[in-house]
Order: sequence, then structure tokens, then C-alpha cells
Amino acid sequence: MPILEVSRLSKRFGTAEVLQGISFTLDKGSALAIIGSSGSGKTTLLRCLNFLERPDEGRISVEGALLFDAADPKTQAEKEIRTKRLNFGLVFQAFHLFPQYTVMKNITLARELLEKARRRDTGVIVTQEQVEAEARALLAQMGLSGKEAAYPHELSGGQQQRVAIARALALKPKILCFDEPTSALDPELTGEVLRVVRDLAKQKTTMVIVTHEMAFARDVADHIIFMDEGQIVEEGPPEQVFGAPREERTRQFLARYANEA
Amino acid sequence: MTNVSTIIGRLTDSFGLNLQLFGLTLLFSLPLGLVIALCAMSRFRPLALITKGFVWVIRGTPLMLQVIIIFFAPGLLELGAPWGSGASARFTAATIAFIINYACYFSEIFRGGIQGVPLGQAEAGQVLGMTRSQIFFRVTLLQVIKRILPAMSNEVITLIKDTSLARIIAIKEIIMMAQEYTAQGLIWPLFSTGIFFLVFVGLLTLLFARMEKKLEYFRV
Amino acid sequence: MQRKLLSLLLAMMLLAAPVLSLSEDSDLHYVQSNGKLVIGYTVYAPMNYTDADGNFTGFDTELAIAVCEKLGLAPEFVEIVWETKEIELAAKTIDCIWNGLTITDERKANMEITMPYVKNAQVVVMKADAAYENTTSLEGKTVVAEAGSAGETAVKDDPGLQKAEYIAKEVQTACLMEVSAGTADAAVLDLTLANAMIGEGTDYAGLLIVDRLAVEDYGIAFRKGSDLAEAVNQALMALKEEGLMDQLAKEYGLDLAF
Repeated sequence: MPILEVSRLSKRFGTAEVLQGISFTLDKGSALAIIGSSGSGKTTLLRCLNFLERPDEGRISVEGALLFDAADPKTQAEKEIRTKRLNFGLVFQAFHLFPQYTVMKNITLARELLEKARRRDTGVIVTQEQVEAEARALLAQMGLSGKEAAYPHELSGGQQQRVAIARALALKPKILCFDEPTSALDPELTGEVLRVVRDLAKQKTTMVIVTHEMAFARDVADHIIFMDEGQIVEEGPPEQVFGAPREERTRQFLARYANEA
Repeated sequence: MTNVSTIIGRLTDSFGLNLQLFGLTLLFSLPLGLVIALCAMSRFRPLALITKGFVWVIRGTPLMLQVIIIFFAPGLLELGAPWGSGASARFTAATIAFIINYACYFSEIFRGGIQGVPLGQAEAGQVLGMTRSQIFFRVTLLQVIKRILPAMSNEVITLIKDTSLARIIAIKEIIMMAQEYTAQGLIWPLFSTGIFFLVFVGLLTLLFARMEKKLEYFRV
Repeated sequence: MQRKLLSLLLAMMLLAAPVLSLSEDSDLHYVQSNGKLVIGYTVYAPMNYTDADGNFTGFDTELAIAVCEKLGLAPEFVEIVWETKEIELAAKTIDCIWNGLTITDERKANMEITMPYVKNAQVVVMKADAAYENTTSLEGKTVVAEAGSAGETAVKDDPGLQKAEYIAKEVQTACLMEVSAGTADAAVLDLTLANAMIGEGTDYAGLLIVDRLAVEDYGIAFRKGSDLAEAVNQALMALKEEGLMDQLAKEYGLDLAF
């Protein structure tokens, strides 16, 4: 059974139909890359999965449980949405680290708040030491050991993005989403971030990656979706989408990228 | 002739009224200003519109007039004496007028500060499962404070000087006290009041510089 | 819109005041039920002021205490701002203005004023070394007086002063500062105030009263239609017979009006 099922998702902004009946599934432990030109709706799709946008139509299920149904307001209650969000993690294009907190606190803050609520509700105690130890392990995994006490503005863009990935992982989401994680970085800094994502893929982290890095997508993803004008034009394994695209629009899009590269 | 130390003593005592009005106004107008800012940003349109209209009226009319209206209107409209009687009634009325006036000015500064924090900060909090109030108090607030500190320092410095407007309803603050001596033919007490304000504003300036320095450890 | 709203509010305040205070049955009953007479004053030597020992005193202060005793009321002195005295009265934040108030037709139309109890004059004050013969000497010169004061009226009524350049000031005391600083040539203000403010030992030792203009009367003002004015008249006459009025007038250097 797929871990994520998205069915007939639509989203309008005013008269613009940004998403038109998007359906796809994602298997546990696999990486999905969504490619497409700017304005094709890929970022909106990611934001819908993280409940930053409310789809006008469609359903989202995780592990067989219905999380969201546009036709059923009961699935849209603010309080529940907050817990449902925790199924997903999101790494933003522009990092959005909290500037007033150290690297350590950026990673542990949300977790601490959640553990506090959990202790109140269930009596389960997770100590601060435990939370921080896990954060340190994540930082080591990101290659950032020793940066615990640094503030975001003291880090390079690539380092900030890796902290943001650690921050998202600290809540142990079932599905980790990336919204063009290297687009805000200088070219020489993209490598370190892509390497981390590649490692995560090797560890079978379930991921949805919106990206402009075609070589990276081909290399890291198990499945590719090509979107254009709010629709999925073509999908399949990377060898097929990149090697032998069936759709004319996919071919044109890839050709444009090949020329630029 | 009244001796100098007596005059300075009375001026100092009356400056206590300026300081009291200053302190009480800050104490209540800061939280009230935050509430007004949040109302003005409310997604419930009527509340936002009413709040904005109110802020417009308060910011659009002189504080001096507001002090007069708040103090005299209840009596003139035969609504009794809500402020009590005697000197404390005048002080109560002036304090309320100042709190409302300054809360409206602060609310606009807060609103600008809150809206100046990138949306991504709140969204980052959201996707990390934080509640609205957790996002506000743990993520946004300190960034807002850092952003608005220079503007706040301006307003607060203006406030201490504005407190002397309370003399319009005969609150015997320092300038009104000094004018009593002017009426007796002594001019220097009036000019010396400037020193009281200068010293206090100097202290405020140092305090704000310290606060800004304290928040220098991060960038927004 | 904003201006309309404000003027509406102010109009409401001012219109409501006389109508509503007329609907009061008796002002005397009102203050008697309060047990006190709230007396509005401004610091104005020699009428109401704090002496060198820190005691609140003055001609009007002592007189008001004596009158209140006759009426069986406790006097409560409240310092006010002169500009808003009529509003204070209407809003009942004070019960009377007892502070060397000059009786004018305008004021009589808006307030209930007692009989004249002290005589006053508007005087011209200049630097001691200034040349002055009569008001025509001030033609083209700068003359200051308090806006809306009896001094201003005197300036506007005098043919000589009409040709001077007139500047209205916020308070009478600021007028003397102008003359002293040389920013104005002459000030027109109350005799009683001028007497108290200039001369030896003051910052205005270099100023002199050079002329007396309109002679006028002081009265005590109450809310329009108030029966308190008549009660105070009776008390004043009784105090005159007892000799207290003459004693106070002598002590403070004033001329009684009756």
C-alpha cells in the first residue's frame, strides 16, 4: 500500500487554476521528484500537502488514513490540521530558519513544544537531553557538528539549508518535502545540500522533491512527475521520463534545460 | 522671595506627576496597542474596519483635545462623575486619554513590525506543528521587537514630553508648576524644566541603546 | 468627516451643558447636598497664590473661605486652566470661578455673576526707560495682551492702541516676558496682576506701569441661572458690614467695588 495517496487535487487562486485534478501515489521509502517550469503548480502542490494552502477539491491520504477531503469540512478543523501536518516535513527554498535562535534551538524548539504537550496529554516523558542528543546526531548527519551554538546569520546559505533539513527531520515526518532546496543558493553551495538529500534517499527516507536540478532528480528519484499548467503531463521512472519522454511538452521542457546546462 | 531650593523641590515633585503619567501610560498602552494591532489585522473584516476607524480618529485628532473631551464630556453630558472628584479625577482622566492615544500609535508600529516579519517565519512554524500563539510568542514577537525598537524609542521619548499636555485640565505637572512662578515674575523655573526632560530623555536613550545592543546578536 | 465628527461632539458638549444645568432645580441645593463648594482658581497673585511659607492664600482665597463659612459649606479649591473655565463650570467639575474674574456683558450672558466686589483696571506696562505719553505713542509699536482677556478688549477699544501692531498671547504672564525680552514694546494686563509681578525683587524689575486704561469690576461666576450667586451676594454684604472685606482689601492692596 502506498504511504501517500493524492487524488484529484485542484486549487484555484481567483480565476487561475493552479492545480487541475492532480492524482499520484508515493511508496514508503521512495523519492519522488516533481519537475516543471515556473508557474506549473509544483510548489502549490507541495504547499497543499503541508496544509499551507487549502485545496478546493480532492483528497489526501497518508498510510490509508484520509487526512483531507475538500468535500468534508470535518477534515479541515484548524486543531486537527496542526497534527496532520506532522505527517509531512517541509524544507523551504529560502530556509526560513528562526534568526533569534541558535542552530540547536532551531532544531529542538518545535520538538520541545510537542513533547511538552505530549507529556501533558499522555504522561510520556522525553527529556531535554534526549531531544538535544537527537538534534546533535542530525547535525552530524548534515555535516554540521560543532555549529550547535551558531546563529543562522553566521552560516552560509548551504549550511542554513542543511540546518533547515535537520529541523524538519527532528519531528520525524513520514514524508519529507523539499521546495526547490537549492534555488536560493550560490551554485558552489548547491552540492553540499544535494549530497545530504542524496544520503537521505539512500537511507530510504520517503521524499517529495520539487527541483530544477534535472541531473539531481534523475540521480536521486525513484519516480519523476513532470507538471505543466497545473496538470501532470507525464510520470514514470527517471530513465523513462528523462531518457524516452513520451509527451511532446516533456521533450520541449527537457530540451530547454539541456540547452541551458 | 521664594528661595531656589524650595522652587526646585516643587518642580521635582511636580515632575513626579509627569513620570507617573508616563509610567502608567506605557504600562497599559503597550498591551492595549498589541490588542488593537491584532484587531486591525483581524480576518474578521468588520472588526478590522472598526478598529482602523478608531485608530484613525484617535491619531487624527490632537491629544490635547482628547484629554479635554475625556475629562469634561461625562459632566457636560450629565453622565455623572466617572473619574471621581478632586485632583485624582483629573489625573485618572488624563491617564486614560494618554493610554488610548498612545495605544493607537503603538498599534500602528506593532502592525508594521508584525507585517514586516517575512511570512515564511510563520509558515516555518506552521509546518513544524506550532500553534498560532506559539508562533507569535516563540517566533515572531522577538523579531517584531527588534524591528520596532527604533520607532518605539521615538514614541516613548515623545511621550514623556507629551505628558506636560496634561496641564490643559490643570494637572499640576512640571510646566504648569513653573508657570506659577512665571506669574510671580520668575522666569528661570520655566526654562529649568527643560533640564528635567533632558535628563530623563537621556536615560531613555541609554536604555533603548542597551536594548538594541542586546538584540544585536541576531539579524532580521 | 473627521472635522464634522469633532465639531458635532463639541457642539453636543456645549449645547447639552446649559440646557441640562437649567433643568437642575437649585444649584444651592446641589452644593449643599455635596456639603462643599468646589472653587475653580488659577494661581494669580494677589487673588489666589501660595506664599513663601507654602501656604495657599490670597484675597480671593481668604474671602472664599469666609463666604463658605457663612453658607455652611466646606471650600474645596481646585486649580483650573483659565481657557477652559466655562467648560469646567458646565461640566460641574467646579461650582464657581472665583479668581479675579472681570465682569463683561459676554460673561454675564453665559454665566451667573455676583455683584462687583473688587475694582480693577487694565494697565499698560513698558520698560522703565521707554518713551510714553499716551496710547498714541504706541502707534506702529508691538502690543501684547492675553487672547480673550479684558486686556485684549482694552487694546481693541482704544483709538491709539488700534494703530499698534497687536499680538495675542496665551497667558497674561507671557506678555510681560515679551516686553522684558524686547520682542514686544508694551503689554496690556490686569492692574492687580501687574502690581504683583513687576517691581523690586522680581525678574521684571525693569518694567513699569505707564498708563491705566479701562476700569472694570471683578465678580464671582456661577453656572447660568444659579441661585448661588445671590446667596454669595448676601454673604459678601454681611462680611462688608463685619469689616472683613475692608481688612482684606487693605492687606492685599485692592480697591473694593462696594
